[in-house]
Amino acid sequence: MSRVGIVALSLALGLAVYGSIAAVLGARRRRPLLVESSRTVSYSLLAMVVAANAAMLAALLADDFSIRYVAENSSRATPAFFKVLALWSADEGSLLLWNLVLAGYVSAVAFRFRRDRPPELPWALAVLHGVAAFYLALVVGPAGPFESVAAVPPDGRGPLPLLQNHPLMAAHPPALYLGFIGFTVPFAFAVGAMLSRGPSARWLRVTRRWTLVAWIFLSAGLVLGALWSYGVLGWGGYWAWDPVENVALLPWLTATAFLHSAMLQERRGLVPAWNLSLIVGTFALVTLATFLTRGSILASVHAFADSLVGPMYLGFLVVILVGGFGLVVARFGRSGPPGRLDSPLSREAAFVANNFVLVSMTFLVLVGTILPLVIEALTGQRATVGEPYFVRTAAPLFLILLLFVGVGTVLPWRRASPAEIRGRLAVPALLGSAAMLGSALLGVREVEAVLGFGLAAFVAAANVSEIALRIRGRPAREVVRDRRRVGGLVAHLGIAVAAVAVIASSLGSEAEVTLRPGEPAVFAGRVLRLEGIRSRVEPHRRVIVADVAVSRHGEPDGTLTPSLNLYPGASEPIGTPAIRWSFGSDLYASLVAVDGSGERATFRLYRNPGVSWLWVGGVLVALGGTMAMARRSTRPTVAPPAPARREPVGVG
Amino acid sequence: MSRGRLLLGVAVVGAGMAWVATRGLGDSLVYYRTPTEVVREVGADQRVRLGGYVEPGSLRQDDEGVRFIVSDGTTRVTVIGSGAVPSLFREGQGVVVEGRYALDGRFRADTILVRHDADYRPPETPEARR
Repeated sequence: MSRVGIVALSLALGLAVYGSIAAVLGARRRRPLLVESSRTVSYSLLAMVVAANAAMLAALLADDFSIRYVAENSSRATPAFFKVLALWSADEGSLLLWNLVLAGYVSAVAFRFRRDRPPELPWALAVLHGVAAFYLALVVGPAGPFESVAAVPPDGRGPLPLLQNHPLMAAHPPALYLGFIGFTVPFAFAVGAMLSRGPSARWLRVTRRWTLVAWIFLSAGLVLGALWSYGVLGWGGYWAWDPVENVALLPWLTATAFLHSAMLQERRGLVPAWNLSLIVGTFALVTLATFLTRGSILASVHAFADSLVGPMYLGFLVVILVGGFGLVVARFGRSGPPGRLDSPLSREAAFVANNFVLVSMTFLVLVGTILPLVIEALTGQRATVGEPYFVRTAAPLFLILLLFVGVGTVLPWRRASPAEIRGRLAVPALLGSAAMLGSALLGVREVEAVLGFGLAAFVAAANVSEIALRIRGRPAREVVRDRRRVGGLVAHLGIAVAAVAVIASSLGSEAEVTLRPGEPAVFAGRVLRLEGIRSRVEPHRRVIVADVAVSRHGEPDGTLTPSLNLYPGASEPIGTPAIRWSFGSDLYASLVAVDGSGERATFRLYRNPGVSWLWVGGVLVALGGTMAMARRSTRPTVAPPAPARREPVGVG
Repeated sequence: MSRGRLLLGVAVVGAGMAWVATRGLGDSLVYYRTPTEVVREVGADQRVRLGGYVEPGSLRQDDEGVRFIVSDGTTRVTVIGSGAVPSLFREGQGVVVEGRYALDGRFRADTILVRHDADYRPPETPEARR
C-alpha cells in the first residue's frame, strides 16, 4: 500500500509542476494549447491524490502497521469509523487530506472554466498548480505519510484518545480545510488579475462565489471546532484563545472584511488594491495557520529546524507575502488617488469602518498569537500570552463591529440624509436600549455585557426589519431574486445571535464537588445526587460512568452521566462531559476523578447560559452565506420599494 | 485623499494599534522556563516561573494544596501549589507556575497560571517521539 501511495503522490507532484509551468508558458507565449493542457492535467492530479488517500485509508482499515503513520495512529481495536478518521487525526495524514481538498478545488476550477476562459485563467492555473506542487512536495518529501517502520509492530498505538472520543472529529477538520483551502481560488485569480492586467474588478465577479463557499466552510469549521471543544474537552467552554483556534479565526476575519469591501469595488469601483491585499493577506494567514498547527512550532521554536517542514512553510509564506504584496504595489503603487466616498452616512462608509475594525482585530489577535514565538526566536526566552490580552483587545473592537453591522445594514449606498437615518434606526435603537435596560434589571452587572446585549439586539432588530421589508408585499419571484441581499442580512442576524451567546456564556458559574454515592450537592438551583458509579467495557476502551440524578424543586429533572474513558496505551483517562442542552442555560458536568474503589467521585460543574445560541448563530451565518451565493441581480443599485420614504414601521 | 495623507493615516493607525497591543499585553505576557532548563540552570530557592504541561493523571489534592507534575516531554518536575487554582486548569493542559525550586527536588508554587497553548496535543514533544 505504501508504494501505491508514494508513487501516486510523486506522480501528482510531477503533474502539478507540469501544470504550473505549462500555464506560465502558455500565458507568456500565448499558446492556448499549453494552457489547456494545464487545465486538463488538473483531473489527473486529482485522481492521483485520491489514489494516495485511498491507499492510506486501505492501509488504516487493513491494519497495515508497516506504515509508521498507521502504527502510530490506529490499532486493531480501533472502531472502523475512527480508523477512517485517523486519516486526518495527525500531521502527516491531515496533509494528505489537505492535498485532496486542494486537488479537488483545482479540478473544480478546471471544470468550471471548461468553456469560458477569462484572461486571468492561465495565471490562476499556474498559481493553483504551484500551490498544489508545494503541498505535494511536503508529503513526498519531509512530511512522508507513507514512511515505513523497520520492525513492524504487532499492534498500533491507536489514535490520540481525545481524537477518537467524539464523532465530531469527522466534521470539524474537513470543514475547516474546505474553508482554508478554498481561499486558494480567489488568491489565484487575484494574482492572475494582476499579472494579466485585465479590468481590475472582473476577478472579483469571477471568484465571488468561490470566496463565499470558502467563507461558509470556514465559518462552519470554526463553529464545529467550538462545538467539539465544548462537547469533548470538558472544561466547560468552547473557545480558549488557544493559538490553534486563533490562527483559524484570523483568515475568517480578513475574509469577512473582504466579502464586504469586494462590494465596494463591484458597485462603485472603489479600493481595488485593498481588495487584492485582503485576499493575499487571507491566503497568507491560511498558510500561517497550517504552518503553526503543524511542524510543532507551537511547542517550541527550537523544534522548528528538526525537519524540513517548518523551513519549507516559512519559505512558502515569504513567497506569498513578497510575491502577493509586491504585485499589488507594482500594479497600484503609481495609480491615482483611491476613489472618494460620497458621504460618511453611506453603506460605503460603514463598509470602510467594518474593514478597519476587522483588520484591527486581525492584527491584535495575530500579535498575541505569534508574540511568544517571536520572543523565543529573538531572545531564547519562553513566553506565553494569556487570555486576558485577547479579551481586553478584541472584546471592545467586537462591540464596535456590532455597532457598524447594525448601522451599515440600514444605510443606503452613496448617501443618506440624517433624518432618513434617524427614521430607520429609531426602532432598532429603541429595542437595543430596551435590551440593555432589561439585562441590567435581570442582574447583569458587567458594563461590556450590558452594552453587548444592547448592540446585539440593535443588530438583530435592524436586520430583521430589513428582511421583513424585502419580503413583505413583494411577489415571490422578486424575493427570490433578492436573496443575495437577504442572505447577507440573515448572516448578520446569525452574528447577533452568536454575540448574545458569547456574552451570555461569560456570565455562567462553576463549582467543583466531590461526592460519595447517595450524596447530594446543590448547584445552579438544582440538587445533583450521585446515584452510583459503574464501569463498562468496550472493545477499544473501558468507560467509567457516574450516574448523577438531577432534581429541581423536589421534582426529578433528568440525569447526567459524565464519564471517564480509559484507553489502552494512554496512561490517563479522558473525560466525556455530560451536557444538558437548553436554550436557557446548559448544565454541564465533567467527571474529574474517581478514587480507586469507586467510593468518591469528583465533578466539575458548570452553568453555561446561552451557549446553545452559538450553534444557532452558526447555522444562521452558514445559511445566510449560502443564500448570498446567488448571482447578483442585474438591476441597478436602487433599493426595493423606496424604503427611504416609508412610514416608520414597528417590527415586532 | 492624496498619497501622503493616506500614508499618514496608515502610520497613525499602525501606531494606535501598536499602543493598544502593548497596553493590552500588560500582565498577560508571561515569561517562563521549561522543566529541563529549570532543573539544569536554576539553583534552589531562586524565584522562577516554570512552564510545561500538567502531566495527565498526576493531579492530586492533599493537605499541602494541589500537587501535580509539570513536564516538557523530557524532564518532569513535581509541583506543589498553594495558591488558587484557575478555572481552566486541568490535566494535559499547558501551565505556568511561579515559585521556588526547593532542595527536595519539588517546586513550590504560589501562583498557577494556565498557559494558552495547543491543549489537545499529546503531552510528549516531537523530540521525545522520535
